[in-house]
Amino acid sequence: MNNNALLLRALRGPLTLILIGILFVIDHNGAIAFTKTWPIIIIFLGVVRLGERALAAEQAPPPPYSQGGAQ
Amino acid sequence: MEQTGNIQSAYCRICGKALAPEEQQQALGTVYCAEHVPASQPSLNSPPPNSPWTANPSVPPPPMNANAPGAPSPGLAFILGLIPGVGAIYNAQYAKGLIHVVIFGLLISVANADSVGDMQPLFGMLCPAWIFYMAFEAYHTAKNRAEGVPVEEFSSVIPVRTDGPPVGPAVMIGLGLIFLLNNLGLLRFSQIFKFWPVTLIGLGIYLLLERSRASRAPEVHREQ
Amino acid sequence: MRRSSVVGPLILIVIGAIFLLRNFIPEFRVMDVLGTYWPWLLIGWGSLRVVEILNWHRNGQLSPRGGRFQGMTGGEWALVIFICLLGSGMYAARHANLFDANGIHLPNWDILGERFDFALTGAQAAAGKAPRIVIDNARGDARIIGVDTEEVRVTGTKTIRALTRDDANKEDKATAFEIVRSGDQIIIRTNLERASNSRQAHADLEITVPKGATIEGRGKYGNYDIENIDGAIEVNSDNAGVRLNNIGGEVRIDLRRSDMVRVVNAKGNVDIKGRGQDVELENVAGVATVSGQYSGEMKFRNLAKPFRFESQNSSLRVERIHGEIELAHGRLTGRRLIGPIQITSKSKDIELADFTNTLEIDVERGDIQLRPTRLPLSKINARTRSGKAELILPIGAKLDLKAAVKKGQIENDFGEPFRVREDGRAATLTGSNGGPEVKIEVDRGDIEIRKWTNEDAPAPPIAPRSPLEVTKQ
Repeated sequence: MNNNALLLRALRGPLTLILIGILFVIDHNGAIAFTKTWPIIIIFLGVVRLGERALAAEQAPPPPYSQGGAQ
Repeated sequence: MEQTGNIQSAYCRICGKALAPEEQQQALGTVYCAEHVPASQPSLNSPPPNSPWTANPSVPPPPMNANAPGAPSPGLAFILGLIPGVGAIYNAQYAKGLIHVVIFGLLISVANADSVGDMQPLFGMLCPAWIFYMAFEAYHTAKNRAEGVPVEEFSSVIPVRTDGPPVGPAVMIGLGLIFLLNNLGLLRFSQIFKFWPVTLIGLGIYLLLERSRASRAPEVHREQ
Repeated sequence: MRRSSVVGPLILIVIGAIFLLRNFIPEFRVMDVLGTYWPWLLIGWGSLRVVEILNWHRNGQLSPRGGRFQGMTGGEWALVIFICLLGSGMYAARHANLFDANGIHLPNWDILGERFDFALTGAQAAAGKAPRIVIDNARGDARIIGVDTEEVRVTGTKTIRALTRDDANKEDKATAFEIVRSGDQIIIRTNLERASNSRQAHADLEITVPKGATIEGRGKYGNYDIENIDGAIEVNSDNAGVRLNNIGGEVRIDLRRSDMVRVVNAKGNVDIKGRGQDVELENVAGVATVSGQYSGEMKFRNLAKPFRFESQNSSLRVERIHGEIELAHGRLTGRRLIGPIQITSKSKDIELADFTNTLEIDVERGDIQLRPTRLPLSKINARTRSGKAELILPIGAKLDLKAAVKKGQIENDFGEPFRVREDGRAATLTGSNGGPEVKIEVDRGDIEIRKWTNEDAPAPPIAPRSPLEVTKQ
């Protein structure tokens, strides 16, 4: 795995944590309740995973099946 | 855990390189690539800082024989898994245990709530289903630990694939968007529900794509 | 090589600092601050971890470990989830109505459906000068005001939770609001039980009635706020906060649960029973009785007639309360009371100042502090099985004192003519300079008798307000 993908993977947790914090701040300031905004967390995680895959693909790991073919 | 074929089942502990089974070098209970496999290790135990907030101070466990004393017992994990959260705790997955408890509580609350009305039986059925899911997940995780396969905090019985179309992230983003739009009142479930046949079509297309890709490299599947 | 995060120790320091602040600045309300600002803790934590990880990455110290990557650990996530639950709980407890009329736990917990409001207007009925009005509202608040009129007028809002507006309209029709005349009774019914799912609807009402009316409120859930009524009031509910002001007739309240019962300026008798949290009675001209289990603070001020309080743990009887009695946090404080006073309790600390006529106290566990200020003294019989008894006497007090301790000490700072006699672990203090009998008995604990000092000076006596002086608001 290349470095950037690794970095993003490691950052996934803390960034999610910040997001949760922001959602609760919005809730406590009376704008939109957390019970309504929680899906943003799932969307965010999905986007981050996409990002990880995109970054990992940049380094173009050997296509999986050719390894098997080389057996 | 289970991936498509057994092609890349582990990563080198040091450099993170994806390793095919024949490239994996086992040492100290985890997996290394040929470059980084340690020749010898003076001591197994660098003293792990004892705080729950530190980045995981786990010591590599010696490869455990399922029959050795102290090894995680899948059977016990299953039974403990019937109690919400305890199965995951048995496998040292604390956050997951807490999440299990919360989901269990939520399920019962929703099943009990009058707001659900006619759908109470659905949520009622989800409760025992969830209990069994927790039990089986604990069982499988314990089995993996006993066999020395490294296990992530949020390991799950759902396989994760790194090749092909990004099903996982796409599903997450999609579901998240649907729920969000509903919650904000922009696009209600009832309106989206009319499109349910699209999932059948989507599934069909996806399977077609799978088959066509598989047919491009037929030797692998025949050589099982 | 694995590095440990710096955030852990930082969090410990922050928590320590918060509680340190609390110890030194009494006004610093930790729970309020924490309840509102805890999400910033998460944000700060996440940011610190981000900075840390970026740093490690720059130094090349990031590395994967088998399946785990050096992001957040499982233990950290467990703590995060725990903080979220705890923080939301604190926030909800401080800022929001935990239980509203729909019985949901958190506001905006609309998993399915949304709320539709229907206005109730223009409902009225002719009533005469002193009708008997029954309010039958299963869920919702009712606010009733007595005015100079001869008709009953109701306005309000009905809120129905449903998936679509059509469903809501259907429910609205099924739970049609009605005012019914039956003999000399006027019944206001919201018919919420007829909703297909009775928890989904609640109605908040505002009712103006003739001043001379008698009101009866019945419901499962919802507050009653009643003002300026000459007739009697009866409230019976499973869960209600009741606030009455300026009531001429008898007041009867029976609640299975309540957060607050408050009766101010009542000319008649007041009877409160059931279970609740806070109770407040002020300016009651009639006989007041409170019985049941109350877990909050109770305040009784200016009650002109005998007052009686009964609970599982304690019982209290006072002839008149000119000042006030407060029961809170396991202690009973009373000021300016007229006896006979009788207090019995399993466990309470008692502190009475400025009382006259006979006083009888019997507690199993608790401290007793008596500060009579008026002379001549009254007959006192105080007993605690376990606790400290303190008698603070004004100068010139005359009494026939018999104080005895079974296991403890007696301190006599008053001086003559009382004398301490010790007998092993027991002790007695006796003496008399004329005056009524004052008996203090402590099984396990100490007794202290002393003179008034300036520090003991009670607040200057307030001129007693006649409870018949009803203030119109």
